[in-house]
Amino acid sequence: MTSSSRPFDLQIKLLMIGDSAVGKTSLLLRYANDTFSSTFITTIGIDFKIKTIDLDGKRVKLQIWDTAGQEQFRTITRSYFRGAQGIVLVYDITDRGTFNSVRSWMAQINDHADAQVNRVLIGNKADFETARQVSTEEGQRLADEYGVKFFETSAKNDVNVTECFTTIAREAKARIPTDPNNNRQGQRLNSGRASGSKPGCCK
Amino acid sequence: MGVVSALKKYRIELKLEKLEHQVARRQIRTLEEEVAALRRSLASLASRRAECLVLVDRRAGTLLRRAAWWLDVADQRRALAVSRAWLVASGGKSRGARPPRAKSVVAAADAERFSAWRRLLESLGDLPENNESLVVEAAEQLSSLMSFSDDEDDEDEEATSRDDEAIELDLRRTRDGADLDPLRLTLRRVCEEHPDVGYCQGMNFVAAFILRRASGDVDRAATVFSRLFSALRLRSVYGADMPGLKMLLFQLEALLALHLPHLAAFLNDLDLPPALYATSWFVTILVNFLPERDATVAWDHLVAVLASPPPPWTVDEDSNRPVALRGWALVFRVILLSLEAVADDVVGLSFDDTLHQLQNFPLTFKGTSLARLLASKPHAFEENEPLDAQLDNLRRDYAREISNGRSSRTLKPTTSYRAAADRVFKYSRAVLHASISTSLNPPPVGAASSTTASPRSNATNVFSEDDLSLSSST
Repeated sequence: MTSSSRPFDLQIKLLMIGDSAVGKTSLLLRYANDTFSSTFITTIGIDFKIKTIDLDGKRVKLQIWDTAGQEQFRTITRSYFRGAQGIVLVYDITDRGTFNSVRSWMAQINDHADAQVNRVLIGNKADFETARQVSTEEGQRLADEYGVKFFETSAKNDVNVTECFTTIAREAKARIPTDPNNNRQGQRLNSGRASGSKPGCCK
Repeated sequence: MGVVSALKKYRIELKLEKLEHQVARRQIRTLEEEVAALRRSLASLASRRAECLVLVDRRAGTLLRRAAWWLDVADQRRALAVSRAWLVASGGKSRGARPPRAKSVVAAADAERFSAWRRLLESLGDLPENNESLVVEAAEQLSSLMSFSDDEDDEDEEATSRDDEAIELDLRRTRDGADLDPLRLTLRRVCEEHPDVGYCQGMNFVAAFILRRASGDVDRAATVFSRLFSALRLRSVYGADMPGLKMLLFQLEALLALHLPHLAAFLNDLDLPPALYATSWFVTILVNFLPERDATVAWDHLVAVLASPPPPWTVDEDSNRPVALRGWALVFRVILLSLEAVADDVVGLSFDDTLHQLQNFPLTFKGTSLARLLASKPHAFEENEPLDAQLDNLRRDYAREISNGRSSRTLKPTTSYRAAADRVFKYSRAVLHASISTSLNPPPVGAASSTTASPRSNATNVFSEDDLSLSSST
């Protein structure tokens, strides 16, 4: 509440997606609040946090949306895709299934997000080396295939968390013209609905 | 010069808008008067008991079903008494104001309350099977056969293990004490009983809540959850693609526009649709929406509503309205009351703060309590028409919009206040006209259902009613 009232030059909407329990909420809370707990509660639907940062001389307000990972909710969560400027796709390096889902998530982005949206691939829980099921090289290869940056992170030990958010914010910022009037308040996640300038918001 | 003319144009536009508003308001008032008049004539008809019995009798099976309900009246009375006693014991005031021995009182009342919940919900399951539910069941089976899926070869066992895994992941994330076994077992049991739905996130919070009321008794908690599952038609809320949830979100947006237009207009300006804040309210059946105590109060009412028969003087249209609708009407009643209590604090906030407020509900109810609000009837938003009737109308609306080719995925009912108001009044008028004409000239037995239903149900044919099975009879 306090952070939102501070002035900023640019607002960027980020969306966190990935299978259930890969650590989306943990990453977000580590980044936004610098806290960690192994028992964050299940995200139902969508949640969001604000973090204002200094990025190359500009005050940038990040509005980060955290989504439910479970399959059922995709029908609901994909309506949040449109209007997001950056997408953080997370898998769990200790769970191959979540890595295998990355392709289907990428397809979802393709179908439902804005065409130029920036993406970053994250392998979380890098602190749990003994349980690793997906190698760093595999992760990197997949990221290269989609042409996106790749990080292995640990929300628990605070490894690479800030880096990944800063990277995606910087990429999005480079793409978006700095126009304070356009980014003042009431940012639209569902921009198709707000402006009316986009024809047909449904597929 | 340009500025002046722009100003002029703006003034004219403003005036035009004002005029439009006046016209709309006048239209609404006329409609309201019309509805009120119809309602009066209907009431005079309905008060004649003999007439009512004829109406009831016309629908095959209705009377039988009702008889089964009446047998449980004693149980319901008891449950309501328990609920009331509990409310008195726990003060109905702010949390800090509890008397010192309140804890034991509450614990004792919890046990008693839970047994009431259980018996009431169990009585629901004993209702004689009617044709409609068989038809629905068959339709569900058929649609599952017809749907395509990549996992078609999946064995049941595989689905079960996937559920178990998903449950395992959420146990710790339910924030419910150290012993996870009861929660695990309860969830598994509920999922086994509904294998086509399986585990859906959010069920964990509901199960934990019921378990706390049940003092950890897995058997009974699972039974209560399962009964609730069928009574509220949760299949369509928790199942693939969540069609029921989408409809609930649609209904919420429309009801907000109707009853809290100030708040609705504000949220609309921020482009903040219910999908962004209300998903967990419905998926957890208010458990994550309210503080534990208020959620318990809401559930007392929910169980009572689900298990109580419709009043005997209700006309055909009402008696045919499924029990699930009345249950959801209660959920909406709680939500509308709560939003009404915070509306003034929310309007005017920034996008971020508004969403924060809505997601972290600081419910104070302004010096009163939810229990009191729920006990004082009728609420302003039900003066003209009970919520279940409003929901029923909106359900038809929704079905029609979908069958007219609007994608159900967009989750964006474009219901401006005026349009919503207009539509609801139009419907209530149509419904009342229909019920009056049928009660004046009772049609032959077989034709009864088609006469009243046909004007609105045509559009829904293309679209499987099952997708909106919140409304299907249990």
